[in-house]
Amino acid sequence: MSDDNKGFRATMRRIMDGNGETHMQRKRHRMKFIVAVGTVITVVVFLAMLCIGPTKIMDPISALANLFSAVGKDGSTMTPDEVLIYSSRMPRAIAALAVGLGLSVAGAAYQAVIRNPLVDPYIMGVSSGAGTLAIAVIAFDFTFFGLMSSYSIYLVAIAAIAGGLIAFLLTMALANRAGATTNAYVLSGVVIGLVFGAAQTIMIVFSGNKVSDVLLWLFGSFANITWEKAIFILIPVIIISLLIFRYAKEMNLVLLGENQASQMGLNVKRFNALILTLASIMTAFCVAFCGIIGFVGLVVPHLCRMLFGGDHRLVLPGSIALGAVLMMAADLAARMIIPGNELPVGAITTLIGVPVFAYLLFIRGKMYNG
Amino acid sequence: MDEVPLLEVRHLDKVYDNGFHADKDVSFSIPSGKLVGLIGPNGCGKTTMMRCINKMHMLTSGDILIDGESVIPKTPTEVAKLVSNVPAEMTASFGLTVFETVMLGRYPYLQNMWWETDEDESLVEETLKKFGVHHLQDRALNMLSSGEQQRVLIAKAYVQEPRLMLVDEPTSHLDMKFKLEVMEYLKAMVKKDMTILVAEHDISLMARYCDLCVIMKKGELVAVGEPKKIITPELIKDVYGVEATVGIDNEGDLYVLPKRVGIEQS
Repeated sequence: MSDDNKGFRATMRRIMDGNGETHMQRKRHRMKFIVAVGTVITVVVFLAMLCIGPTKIMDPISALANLFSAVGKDGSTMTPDEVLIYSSRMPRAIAALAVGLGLSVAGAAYQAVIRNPLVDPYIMGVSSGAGTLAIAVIAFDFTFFGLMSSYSIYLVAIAAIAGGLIAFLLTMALANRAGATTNAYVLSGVVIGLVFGAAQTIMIVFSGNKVSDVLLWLFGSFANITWEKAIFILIPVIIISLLIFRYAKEMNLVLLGENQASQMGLNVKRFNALILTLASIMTAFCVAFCGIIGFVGLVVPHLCRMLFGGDHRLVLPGSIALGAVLMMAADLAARMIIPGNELPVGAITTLIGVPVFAYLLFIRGKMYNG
Repeated sequence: MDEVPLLEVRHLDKVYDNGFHADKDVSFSIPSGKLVGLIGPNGCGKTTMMRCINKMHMLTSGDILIDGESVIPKTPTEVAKLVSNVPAEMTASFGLTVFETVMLGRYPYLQNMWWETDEDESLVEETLKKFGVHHLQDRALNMLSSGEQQRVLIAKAYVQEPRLMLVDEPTSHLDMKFKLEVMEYLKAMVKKDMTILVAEHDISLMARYCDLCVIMKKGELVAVGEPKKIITPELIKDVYGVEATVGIDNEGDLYVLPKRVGIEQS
């Protein structure tokens, strides 16, 4: 290798521009780049989540030392620093990572299958359905007709998941009756979402002194995350993301349209139903404890497409890393902008998301619309 | 013994769920290495037949054989390796590039591989050169002119390495020069081990380029044969209900000039 081919800048140029490589070599290099750089940035931001908070800022070494000593103590008789790192910041960082990752992968999957760049993980009505039942629990102590204890930490989460899946199933049923075309999915999702949205509005009006709890959930927050909740989100999100990632090639194929994809040997209707179901279940888990956090699922897949091209074998791993990093960073910002006064993270992601989205429309809108 | 025809359609019958009888007992066969025009008025069963050939629709009765083997028991992937399809138009979402679009033609051969092989890549590169779109390979498909887009779609169907390529109205929204260009590319490809079946409205264009024509009307087969032998004023009158002059130009090519039709006014 000659001298001007060495060094960081040359490597970057080679990865981004190809520099005489074949297409497939470039893709394989980009994949390695995404995995390597994605892992490093994720670890760095994760560490920052442990070190930085409104109560105290620690250096990474003492943060890790506190984490490991707390793990050694198995959770009992911890020092205040250990409690802070182990019981508060660690689960919070895990939850932000999982939700960011899950919403981004779900967004990328929805956009590919529905072939519409403006689609986000909430397009199938999942968020409205989840919100409706979650509000029923928060404001009106709905306990699934006595099936669950009203003190269970899982009550709101299970209500949200159930509500999300009910809305999703209604959307699928309606869309299938309407011919299971991509437009049918979008229109059905919008209509079902509106119905649940209306129910939410009515409940909020009658929620009395619970209204601030309701709004806090609707805006999205990682404030009340515990270890149990974090794991409850993380495991399904990892499993479903890997399942979706397995179908990256097929997601490229459906971009050519239903007819072309099916004449190439793919059962498109079954594939679409599978991916939409997986993405919707994942979205329901993402909103279960943390509420509705907007824009990450819409914007991250687009950022990845701009950076790495349209191939989902690169868009999906890119979304995994970038989604996790952006959500953790947004949560950090939500806690730190006004110390002691936590801002809703959904508002932060939206504030970051809107200008990015507007920029995307400005730059890439023409290219996206056929 | 006769050579096994590349495509054999046997008593094809297709009735849609709504009762529409699109194809009625259609039978014909086509040898390998031909450019075949599929001609007939709108709704005569051309597209339905193409969709039955690549198993996008199930036949109501009859059979379709490629190289002597029925396509009916084959899996969608097996059919995709035998038959490829060029749509009249296609919009690829999300700025998929020309290279990526054509590379998707290799999908049926990928099996469980994650990346396409170097052989796949060189096949795609060669094909892009052959169709004169190599310099456009990193452009988004949507940014190309319709003529270029059509060539990319044909290139994608070509790298699928099919025995039979189905082309549905390739020139429907192209101007005269692009129409001729697309037909030239199809004609050049057919010299290989492949037959191309083109559904098209422009009879003169078909007569000029095609080795054989299959003519259909209201779901029934009217004629199969060399264009000069079968295209007559009587056939045009029968199929389209239009009076036409059928002649031979100075270069010996057949042309069809329709006459004016009156409109019944109330």
